[in-house]
Amino acid sequence: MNYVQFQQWLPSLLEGLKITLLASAISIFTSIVWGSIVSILSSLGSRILSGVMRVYTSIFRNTPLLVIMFFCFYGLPLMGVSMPALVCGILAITLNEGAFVAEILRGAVKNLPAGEIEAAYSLGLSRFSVVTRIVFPLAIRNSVPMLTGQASIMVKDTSLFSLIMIVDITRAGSMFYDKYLSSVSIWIVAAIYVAIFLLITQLGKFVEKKSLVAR
Amino acid sequence: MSIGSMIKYMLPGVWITFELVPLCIISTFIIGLLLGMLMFKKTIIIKQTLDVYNIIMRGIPALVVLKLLYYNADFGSAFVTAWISLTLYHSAYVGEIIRGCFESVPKGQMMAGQSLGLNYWQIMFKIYLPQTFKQMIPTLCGQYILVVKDTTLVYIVSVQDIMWLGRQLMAQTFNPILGYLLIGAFYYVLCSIIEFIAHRVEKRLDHTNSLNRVGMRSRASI
Repeated sequence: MNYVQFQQWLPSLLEGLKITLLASAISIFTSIVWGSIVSILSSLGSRILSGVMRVYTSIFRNTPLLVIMFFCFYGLPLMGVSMPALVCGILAITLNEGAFVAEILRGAVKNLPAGEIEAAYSLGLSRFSVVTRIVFPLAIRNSVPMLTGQASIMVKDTSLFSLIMIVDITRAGSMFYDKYLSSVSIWIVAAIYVAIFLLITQLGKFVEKKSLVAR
Repeated sequence: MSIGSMIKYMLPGVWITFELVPLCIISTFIIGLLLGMLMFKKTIIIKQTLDVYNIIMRGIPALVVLKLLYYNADFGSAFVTAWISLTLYHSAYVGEIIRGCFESVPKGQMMAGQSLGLNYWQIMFKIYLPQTFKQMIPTLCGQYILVVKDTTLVYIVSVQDIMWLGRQLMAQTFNPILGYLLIGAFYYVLCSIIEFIAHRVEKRLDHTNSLNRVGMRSRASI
């Protein structure tokens, strides 16, 4: 890689970086929201709802993200639902990682002390408000470290966007390789991913500290 | 194209997955065990080196690891490249899991082992590993589900697995809905089997460990 090549490549790298950061931020947000909704729905006590949610988590935890993504990208348009590629990718990540987030929250709910929930019930709160106001905030606070880990996995998941025709940084790196047959670009991309990972870890530690203070 | 002929076309790819997954499981376990033991030893230089390795492998997506190895190194065949990159990638996670399990053993056992004159590796293999092996299994199974799911990526280095054959077929027949449903179903069954094993072991552990049983009674049930 010489300077001129790098200069020509830089705009597409920056464009890819923008896509990767944007897509990661959106998919982390949507996955956590969707996972929370799933875990709340499954702990409301309705047998049908929790059964449906259990089937959902089982299916999406045990199917590779790539297959879901390809299904959304190639299959859904034939069924009459066509979306931009970016939306497809984010939808796939949300469905897949939402199941993981729901599972993390379920584990956290299981480990809550019985006393707090009994106290809430004895105050006369309904099941819905116990779940949404007592159980869920406690559970999400206890699972901050695991959610941070999951968030860093979601950032890595966005690298699969390069396989559905989106120019993210992985694809930008591959494009340079295809043009000049030099893999330096992919090393640079790898370094950027490590930097994002470190950033998320630090952010997670910060959030963890804040959540501990609030308790 | 009927489902039967589609399955028949993709069947050779299934065997590739069945070769790749056990190979990866064995190699990641061996390397992860070594990494876990080295990290547990806490010799400063080794620990720092392994920390850097961990951060790198946990930061880079599996796809990028595959591409890096595929473009930079020549292992003879695409299959070996895929195997080595998945091993490198997942060993970091497995090592971390195993180290975590070792941390849960009371410190006195290390001292007891040392006072019996055993060296570090003897203590690890004869005292720590047998005790923690059962505990590791559920968490390791979770990681191995991820290994199975990451084997979908190997088609990009032209390993002719189920995904590769499926995509080839779909390019000819243009029936991506059925094709991806079939591939998804295959991986679903494979991962469910591993999950089932993890559940069984977890249940057995809950049953044998009386401390856990007492702990579970005081848990909330909403």
